[in-house]
Amino acid sequence: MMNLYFNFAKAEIGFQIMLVAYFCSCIAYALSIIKTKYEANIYHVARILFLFAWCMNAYILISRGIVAGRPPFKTFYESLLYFSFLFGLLALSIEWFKKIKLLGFLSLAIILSAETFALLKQDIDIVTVPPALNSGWFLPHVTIYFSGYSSVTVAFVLSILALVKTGDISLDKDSFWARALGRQEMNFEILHRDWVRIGYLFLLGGLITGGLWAKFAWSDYWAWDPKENWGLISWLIYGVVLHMHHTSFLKGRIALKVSALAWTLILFTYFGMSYLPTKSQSMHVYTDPPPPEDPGEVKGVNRQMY
Amino acid sequence: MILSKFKYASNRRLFHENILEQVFALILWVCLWVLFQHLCNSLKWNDVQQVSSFLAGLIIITGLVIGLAPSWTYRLLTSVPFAISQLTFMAAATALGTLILQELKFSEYLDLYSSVWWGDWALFLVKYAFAYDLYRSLWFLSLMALLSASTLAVAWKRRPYNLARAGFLIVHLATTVILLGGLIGKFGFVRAFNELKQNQPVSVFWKVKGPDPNDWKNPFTLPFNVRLDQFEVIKNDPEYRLYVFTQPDGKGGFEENPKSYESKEGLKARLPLTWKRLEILKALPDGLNRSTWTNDTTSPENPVLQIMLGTGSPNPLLGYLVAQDPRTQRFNDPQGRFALVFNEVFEAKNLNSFQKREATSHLIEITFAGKKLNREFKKGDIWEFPVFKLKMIRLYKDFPFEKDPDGRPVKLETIPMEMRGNWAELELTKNDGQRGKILLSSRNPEFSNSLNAQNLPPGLDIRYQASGEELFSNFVLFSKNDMKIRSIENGRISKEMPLIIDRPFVFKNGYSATPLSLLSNARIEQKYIPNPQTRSISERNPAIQVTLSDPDTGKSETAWLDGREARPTTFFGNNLGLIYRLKDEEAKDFRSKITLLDFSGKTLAQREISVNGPLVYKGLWFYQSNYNPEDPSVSGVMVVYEPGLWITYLGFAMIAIGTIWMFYLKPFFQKQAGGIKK
Repeated sequence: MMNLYFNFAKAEIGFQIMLVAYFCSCIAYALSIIKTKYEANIYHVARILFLFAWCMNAYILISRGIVAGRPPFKTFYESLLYFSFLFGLLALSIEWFKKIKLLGFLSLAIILSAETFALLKQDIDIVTVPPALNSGWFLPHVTIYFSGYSSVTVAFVLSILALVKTGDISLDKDSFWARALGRQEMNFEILHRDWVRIGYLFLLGGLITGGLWAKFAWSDYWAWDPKENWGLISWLIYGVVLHMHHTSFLKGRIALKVSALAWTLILFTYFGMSYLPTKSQSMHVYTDPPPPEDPGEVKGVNRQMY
Repeated sequence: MILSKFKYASNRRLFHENILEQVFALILWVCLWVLFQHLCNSLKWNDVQQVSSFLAGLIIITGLVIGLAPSWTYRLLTSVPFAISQLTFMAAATALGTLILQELKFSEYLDLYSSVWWGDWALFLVKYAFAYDLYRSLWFLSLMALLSASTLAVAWKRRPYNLARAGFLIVHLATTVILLGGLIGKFGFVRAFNELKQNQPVSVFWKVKGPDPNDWKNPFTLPFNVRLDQFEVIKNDPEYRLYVFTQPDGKGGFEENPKSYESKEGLKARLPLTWKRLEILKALPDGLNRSTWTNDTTSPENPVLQIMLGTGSPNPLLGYLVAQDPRTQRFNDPQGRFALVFNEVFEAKNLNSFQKREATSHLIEITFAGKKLNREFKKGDIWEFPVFKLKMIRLYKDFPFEKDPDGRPVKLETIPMEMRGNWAELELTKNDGQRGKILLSSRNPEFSNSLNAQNLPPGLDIRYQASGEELFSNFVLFSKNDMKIRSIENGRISKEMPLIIDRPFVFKNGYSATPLSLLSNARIEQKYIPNPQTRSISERNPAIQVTLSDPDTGKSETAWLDGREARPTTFFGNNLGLIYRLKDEEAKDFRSKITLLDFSGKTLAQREISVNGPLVYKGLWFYQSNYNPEDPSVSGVMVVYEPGLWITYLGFAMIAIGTIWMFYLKPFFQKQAGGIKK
């Protein structure tokens, strides 16, 4: 906790403002669900704060990209900022038009978790990229992948909402759920499926652009690298989710639960590579400090050269 | 009998709906191919023979199953639950390969897995299920083949197709197209390396898995020559930044993640976690150190003696001895004949320490990211850090040169003094896999630092302290308490006289040491001046002058920071540390200009290849693969031939277009078709 405080104090001022704004917005969303006479005003403040924090997020990203002279996706700090930016955009848009307070609250909780993790990693310094990342493919590949991550995160939030909103929940004017989920009847399951489709497509795009780039950089479009494999695994499981919608006995709550589980695979693909026993055989562990166990033992292609 | 069982199964719709049954069936399917691969191995078939027999086996099984139970097979392959089971099973199999290290020797697996609780399972899978090369094993290929069969069967089932349903067809055909591309690639694939020397054309490359020349056994001859015209390593412009440490760890070091600032003259900032303010007064891109000692009565006691050493040559040596600093309290003659020592107090009982003896303790000291750590040298020990690791290799009594450039053994006397004394050899492995030998001299750390400069990450300082060692037998000892100068030989005083400023002390064959001044409260007055000479970027020594002020107390401290100094300069009673150092040394790119020539010397193609920019010529891809840091005229080039590549790319395009079509164009086409019908 102290470490988090120290790192927060060391972060750039823009980041501090953004984080405080996201945090206040999250609290405001939570308060706006509670029935008070200020409910509407608090909700209004929550949305404005969300919008303001997101604008700060965009400003930090753009200014960092200008200073670094490259797309700002190299470190965990940068990539999590980028994730918050893309996911924030999607979540804010849906919330803005559909007015689902719980979606706003859960999305902000995810953004805050991501930013807290960025603070814990504290790799804020702008670093130069290795030669393999000095490529025109860097921007489209990462953008497409992070759009995928953001979309499936929206799908995750929607799956939670769909699981929460069972048939016996009343959306009466004064009920808790009406305030949390919006007063209009909405089929979260269908909305969830739509976002899984979007995410699935982007994840596929990420796999394909990654393959095309890898052919240019490392000579293999597919090398069974642990990161590639986990990208494939999460895509396959989202494929499973989409297929489940076409079976009578697996669609509905089971599919929603599998979808939520699939999101944890995305988390593992993003954060978990350094915990794999095969991390030393991955060329994708750009953002993680621990060194490979014994690089001399890395077998296979020429990937280890750079 | 078998037929009736299949008919029974068919009637019961065995495996069609129950996912657990399907997973069980998939395990049986995998086991079949594991056994098949064991059979192939016992027959000592190579990769191509194994894959060929695998394909033949697949055709036989397909024929058998279709012949015996066509409708059952068709229903199974086209059932959605089976698709779900297959995708899940495929995902699990892929995940397994990320848990077990691939392509190691069995002895290495034994080393890795014999000490962990799940090691027996891993070893079982390695030994019996080909988990050491999982993604190329026949059972994994069999899963892909089954997926292909399923998608083809589903595509057939959904006939007839119209525009609205074309996306479904494209997606389900794409899987087979991608796998077909991979299969073709597997049969004709070639990857070969060679290290090209500038202006020496070669046509033979070596088919290997990696760029280690020890593995170069199978030649791959090109129908033309490849010539390296030029190789260069493109480096980023070095950027020096100011790192501020504000969290002392109580052990002489600071936190690992300091805040950094751009080293711009005039920069002002409030330091994190404190109200203290920082200002960069001067920033020199290349500075010369002109610091001197001055007496300052307001400073704490710090005796410093200025000495002139007469060696018989017209130019005497001038220097300072700092009594309180073990590193600078003595001056060692480069030839090893004598040492000058300045002590605050002379004690007769310590005379024994002024004679030759061997080291009793060997300590490796590291300063990195503001932290100072040390560890006793132990051969084979590995010391891990976030961005590198150090392996302790061995200790040497003298510099580890055993032979001169002509191959003759080197006599100890011919080795320059700065190379003499205790040395430690370490191996530094950066987290990008780069390894480098680190040689540390206990006697002359600056000399060994200059040797190791290329292999050390920025901001890392490694020192080797062989304590208890004494290499000298003759000393000139200056002592402040009794103001005496003594000549000591092998622990015995041979000559003694009072320490009087400007009075020379002749101690050995015409050598003399003359005290020029004695500063009781010495303080170093730092001064850097801009270097009037223009030096290359790598030779420059950037320096900045900073001032730190504390608004609470109104105090401020000013100091020069040297870009080459890895240790933090501390302020306000060691509560703040500042390091001015290079941000990183990442190479920007590696580029080789290569020309393809036919055997008559005619140019076929020419291009500068780089990490992301291969040369493609008639299906052959030429890559920049590695380089030799010690020989800039050599470049590692890899050639790859992959016949099924464009089929795979077609599959990529199909799956992308098909998915978009299925999700987003289908409703549009459906609407259109509905309109036409109306």
